[in-house]
Parts: sequence; C-alpha cells; structure tokens
Amino acid sequence: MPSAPPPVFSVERVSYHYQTVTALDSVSLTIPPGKRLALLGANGSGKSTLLRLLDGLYFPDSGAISFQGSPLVRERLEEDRFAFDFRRRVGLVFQNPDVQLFNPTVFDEVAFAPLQLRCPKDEIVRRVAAALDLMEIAHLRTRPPHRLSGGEKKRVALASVLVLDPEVLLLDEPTAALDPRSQSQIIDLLIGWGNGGKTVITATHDLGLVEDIADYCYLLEHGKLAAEGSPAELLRDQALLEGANLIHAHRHRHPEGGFSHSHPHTHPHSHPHPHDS
Amino acid sequence: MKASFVERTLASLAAASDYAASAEQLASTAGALQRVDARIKVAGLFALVLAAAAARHLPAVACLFAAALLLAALSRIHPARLAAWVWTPVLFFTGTIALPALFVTPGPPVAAWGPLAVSATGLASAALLVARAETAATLAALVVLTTPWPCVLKALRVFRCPVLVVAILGMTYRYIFVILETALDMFESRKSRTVGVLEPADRRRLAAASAGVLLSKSLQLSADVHLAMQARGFRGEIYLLDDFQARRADWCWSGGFALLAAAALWWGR
Repeated sequence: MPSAPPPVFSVERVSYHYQTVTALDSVSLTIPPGKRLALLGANGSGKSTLLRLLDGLYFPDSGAISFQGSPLVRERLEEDRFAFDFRRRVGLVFQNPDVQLFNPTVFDEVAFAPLQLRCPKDEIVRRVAAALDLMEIAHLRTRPPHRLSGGEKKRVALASVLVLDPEVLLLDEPTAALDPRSQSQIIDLLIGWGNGGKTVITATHDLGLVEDIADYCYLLEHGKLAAEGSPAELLRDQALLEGANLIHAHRHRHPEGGFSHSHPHTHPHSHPHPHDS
Repeated sequence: MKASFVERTLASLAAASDYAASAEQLASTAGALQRVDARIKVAGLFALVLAAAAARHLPAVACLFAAALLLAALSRIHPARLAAWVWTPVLFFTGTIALPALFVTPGPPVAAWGPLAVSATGLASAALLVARAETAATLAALVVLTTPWPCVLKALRVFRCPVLVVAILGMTYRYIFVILETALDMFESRKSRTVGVLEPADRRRLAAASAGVLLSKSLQLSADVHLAMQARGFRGEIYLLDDFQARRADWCWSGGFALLAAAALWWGR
C-alpha cells in the first residue's frame, strides 16, 4: 500500500519575537499537500510572520518547521541546491506590492525570479509571456511599476510569483486595499489557479473571502493558534470571531428611538432596522 | 501671500514628481533619438560628451552644442525645457566656479570696475569651461530624456557597467517614487492639521522630524524589499536579461555619432 505524501509544511511549537514583542507563541500546525488554507486573524495576530517563517525568510526562535519532511533551517537555505529547489517550489506574495516590485519595468519584475534561478533565456521569455497573459497585464510589460494603479501592482506582484508555477503559494492579504472588481478578479484567479492541484495558504482578516479561497482555516489570536476548522465551522462561531476582532460591529441608528448601538453583522435581533427595507 | 514651509515642501515634492513624469513622457514620444537603439545612443552621446570635454577651442564646442540643439529639436524637446532643467542650473554652478578666472587669469583687460579687471584670457577660459559644461550636460540630458530609464540601465549593463551598480541605480529610481509619495502624504497630512504659518523653530523641528520618520520608513522598506528579493531566489548576485535588437538605421546613427565626435576632436585639438 503506497504511503501518504509528507505534509508540505509541518510547524511544531514555533515561537518568534520581534525584540521584546511576541509575534508567535508556540504555534503548531500541519499543512497537507494540495489544500487551500486560510490563516485568519486580526492585525498583529502573527499571520504575516508565520507566512515569512514558512517561506524561510525568518527562522523560529524556538520550535521547528519542516518542508516536505526536510527541516527548514538557515543552514539548508544557504545551500544553493536546496535554496533553488525551495524557491522554485514555494512562492510568497507580499501584502504591500511596492515591497515586491523593485524592478524598472513590469517585464523585468516578472522575469526576476526565473533569472535568479538561472532559467535559460528562451524559457524566461516564454514563462514571462504566459504569466503576463494569465494575469491579463501583457499591455503593461514596458511600464514602470510606480506608474501602475493598486490593482495593477497586485496583479504584477502575483505574476512575478506565478511565473515559476510554484507548488505552494503563500499569499499575504491578497485583496487588501483593492476595489471590489479587482478583488473579485483576483479571487477568481486563485480559485482557478493550478486546477486545484496546488497548495495555497492565504493570510487574511477578510471573512468574506474565506469560503471562496479555503477548505480549512487556522485562527490566530495574539500570536497563538486559537482555533481551527472548516470555514463554515469557524464562521458560525460568533463569539470566537468577535473575541478575535474579526467580525464587524455594525453601529446604526433606530429611526423611532434616535439612539445608536452595535451588534454583530449577522443581525440576530428580531427588531426591524432601517436597512432591512 | 507668502507660502508656508509645508506648502513650499509640498510644491517641491510635486514638482519632482512632475519632472520625472515629463521625462518619462518625452522618452515615449515619437522623436528621432527616441527611435535609436539605447546602446548606440548611450555610446554615441557619451562619445560626444568626451569630445566636448577634450576640445580646446570654443568654436568646436559651440558646434557640438549646436548639434545637441538640433538633436533636441528632432527629438521634440523644447529649448525652454532644456533651459529650465539643464542650462540654468549648469550655468549657475559652472559660472560660480568660472567667475574667479575672469579676474585672476593674467592677460589684456577687456573691462574694468575699479580695481577689478576682466582679462581676455580669463573670459576665454571661463567661456570655454561654461560651454563645455553646458554641452556635456545637454548631451547627457538627451540620453535621459529620450530613453526610458530601464533601457538606459540595460545599455549600461551591455557596456560592462557592474551589475551591482546597475541594480542599485534601478532600485534607487524605483523607490525614489515610493518615498516621494510617502513624503507627500506626510506633508499633506501635516498641512490638513496646520493653521497659519509656522514659526522658524517649528519649521526646523518639523523638517527634522519628517526626515527622521522618512529615514525610518526607508530602512523598513529596504529590509522588506530584501526579503522580497530573497523570496524570489536572490542569492547576493543579480542577473539581468539583455534583449536589445539594433536595426540598420541604428548603425547609421552610430556612424553619425562617431563621425561627429571624431570631427570635434580633430578640430578642437
């Protein structure tokens, strides 16, 4: 009987600190291959730090992370062979596209990763063209990134990672600061990308996205793993979401009473509200 | 009414951004130099700059300056722009350096104000220095104003300029705009909360605080950019893709630049 493939990432009791501030506190989780996972949490809950640890950019102060059964440690990432293989297979899209777009043109930006990984020139040109077409930004190829809109920058940032066709995609707030149309286009792309065969880990605090982009969720709160489960299970738990600062407190005014109050966005109260009509 | 410190700073930041936008727009205009292969343009105009620097006679430098003006006109660059962006600042700086030569160089006087006399030799030296500087700056400006910055960088790489230097130049140009935007946001937010004109001490405090915050943000940004580069395979050495393709017309331009530079060198020797 064939043995099950090892998890893509195995995180065991990982802690990380920024000087005196604890970003992650003894977090353990396992990420199986081919799954779409969401890391949920409010700002400062440790989501971005965890993504950077998974991408081998930071290393835990304590605990251990392994990638497909191999320890993900500084020494291994200093070896060319492991580093090239890892960078080819795992891609990270940063929250702020300005951080990620450091090349003079869109074409150079998308070509950066295959160039650093020493792909042949013909292959680079072919891959860049395919990534630009996938993100529908071929018309921007000669434009400098600082002249692009927020949505265009995000697409370029995605193309610059998808150009390597990674097995694992790490996304930090992929729809942050985007208009609704750009958000929807990026979600559609993520749903269709890789025909469901890729591992996608998305850090977000936008609960509206979760059911579209994830099969399973981890909820982080103050650097600790507070809960895990399917999107439906977590989204049902109002107390948990409210405790983690993830649900909207919707303040509004009653026409007859003239007073205002707040309550969760799902409107569990039976009294009429102005926006129900 | 006198503009406040914040307003003047905002105007300067906006002007810097406008200048860059205008330069980029000019580089994408359908002009003569804009169509020339960036490598040939960089090499050709650099040869003319060298010829201007080496020429010892004013007429030879003047001819190169006239050629630069002609190239500017063919490339749809208005002389008023060159005057504002290049000639005036160069005249100010070079003129300041050349000014003492008018009075201290020995030779027959051509004008005198009391004890101060301008010598003919001094005037010729100062005129040659200013003419060389203006011509060289105009030719260099033609490269920048008719070539998208990424192509200038790639052309430098073709001429074996170290890849690290090219990468640093590219990233500097890229992040100047991010930092400019941050500075603009900071000053606009300050303006929205400021009534009246600030006292000099407050202006100094505001300038120092803004510079400190910008530096701190720049450091954070540079750390994040380094992480983003590592995440995409950067291992300490940058690789660039050269994709230039010269046409027959480019080789004609190349010959023209070489002839002009050689003629200026011969005449000006």
